[in-house]
Amino acid sequence: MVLEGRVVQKRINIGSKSEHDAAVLVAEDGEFKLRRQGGHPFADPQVQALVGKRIRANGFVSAGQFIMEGYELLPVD
Amino acid sequence: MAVDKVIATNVTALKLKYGNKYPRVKAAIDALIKADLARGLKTMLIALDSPSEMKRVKGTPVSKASDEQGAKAAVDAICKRYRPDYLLLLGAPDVVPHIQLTNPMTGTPDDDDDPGVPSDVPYASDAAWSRRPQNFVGPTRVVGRVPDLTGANDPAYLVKLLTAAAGYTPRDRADYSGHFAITAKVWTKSTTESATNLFGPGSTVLTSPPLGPKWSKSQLAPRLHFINCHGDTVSPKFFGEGPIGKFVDAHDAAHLHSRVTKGSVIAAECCYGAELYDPSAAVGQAGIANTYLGEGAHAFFGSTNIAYGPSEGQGQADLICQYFIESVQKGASLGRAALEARQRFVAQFSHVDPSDLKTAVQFVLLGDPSLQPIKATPHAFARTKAVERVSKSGAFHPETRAFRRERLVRAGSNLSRTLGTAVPTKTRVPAGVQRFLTQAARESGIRKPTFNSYSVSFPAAPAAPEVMRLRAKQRQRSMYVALGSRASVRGRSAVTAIIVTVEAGRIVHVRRVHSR
Repeated sequence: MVLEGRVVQKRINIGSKSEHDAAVLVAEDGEFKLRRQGGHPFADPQVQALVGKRIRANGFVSAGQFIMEGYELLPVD
Repeated sequence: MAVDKVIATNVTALKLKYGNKYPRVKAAIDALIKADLARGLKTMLIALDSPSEMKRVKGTPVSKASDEQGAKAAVDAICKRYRPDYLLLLGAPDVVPHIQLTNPMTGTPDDDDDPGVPSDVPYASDAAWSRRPQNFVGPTRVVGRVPDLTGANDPAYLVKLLTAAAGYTPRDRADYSGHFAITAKVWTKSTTESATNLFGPGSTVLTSPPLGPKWSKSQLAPRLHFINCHGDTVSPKFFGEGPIGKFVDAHDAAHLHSRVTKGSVIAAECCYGAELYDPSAAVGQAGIANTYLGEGAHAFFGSTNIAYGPSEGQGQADLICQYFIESVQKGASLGRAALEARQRFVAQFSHVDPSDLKTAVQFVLLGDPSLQPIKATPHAFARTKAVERVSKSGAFHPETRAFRRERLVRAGSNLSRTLGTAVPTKTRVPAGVQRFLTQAARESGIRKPTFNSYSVSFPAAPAAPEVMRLRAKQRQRSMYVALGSRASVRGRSAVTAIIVTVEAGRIVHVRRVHSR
């Protein structure tokens, strides 16, 4: 699937063993923790570098996370 | 015909995955059934999708592999007909589905984004079909899942697991001495307490960082593994953390090859520890749970999604995982250990809050539930000539396992009838409670707390008179929570909750909990 939106930094899963600051894709379909396929789920510099940017990405959703197989940067509004 | 163990699977789904290689799977199942018989277990394979086999148990065949309600109904029909001591679900969730239960954390202040809770606990319960986790707090059945690889088209992995189960023998207690325990550094205190409880004072707990993920064969050699690290969906790794916010690799499926001792038993608190994802989603690498089993481990007890537990002290995932390992250490079969862990976990509460409820239903057993890793130590009386003589004569039919099943059914049934669960509501927080929560939040350093209300709901089913007398009080029970972040602790804000239980207008219990 393809999702498009802005990447923000957000604290997620508060109170759980998975509480952490994550890059989150804010898309029309909802908000998804953003990951790269094969990348580190908690500390991926490439994903972190996308915070503040707009992207269009193809990938799949697993457990509310969007795992990118590829992406392109979009102009910021 | 008496049946001790049922292997339940969807043969159509297996054939779709493996095509003309399915006969290899069937041969491995037949070999397991034969091996079970040799050790005194009558095992039957039942295809959930077979009209004739389901007709025999007065059930309806499942129409497709993803039919959760159909699979649950089929399993219930099988268990009603045969009352097996062990139920083995054969296949990954694309063969026999997890039941997607509602996430009890959704709509709470700690909403954890899991869309649902993939669970096998409904298969372990006599309760009718539902997606409400509250309905499954009293499981009574001994259940385990032997998974193939999700999305696979080569049955080699599944055949390997079935062959290992057929060839297993219980081992001496000494073969399970020693342990391999790893923790995210930020959770060292909690894991050390768990390790002390399980393995004795001074037990080694390896912390990540700085250690891992390339553990040596000798470090991995002990057969009991206890893991308290981070995990994530579609990830073949677990992660350490230290300092807070800095994550490092702690455990890696790719590093387990030829390093796991046959017969190992693993309990992992990690989020998604037992997730059975399609390896193609992780660039071909299967998850840690699948990998351990493929390397000869007997069992992996873990969570299917986001789990809970404190950084210090004991709670939720710490406890349910400990209880599982404890039961194994005492000689229980894997399936009995899993059931006892679930029952023991919820039995400590008068009512379960949303995170405890999620814990109760998210931990699954991957492994043949009938395997008993550690030989039970027979009583000296069992070795007397009198007992040996009456055993040989055929006049003595030990019902020890049947008595254990009776106990487990009794415990699960009682829990179903009496345990309360907290459910979010939109009612206003009473003024007096609000004042207390506001002051307590201020004193705890909570900034801008939010306030939420819960009703505590108890089953309506009839119960013993003394339980019915408690119901009047329980009907008036509610919970209120002040939640917010504290001032920055070690570089990040931490979340604290003040939880108040109210009965008949009076505060009867107060509690403060912190996030990790």
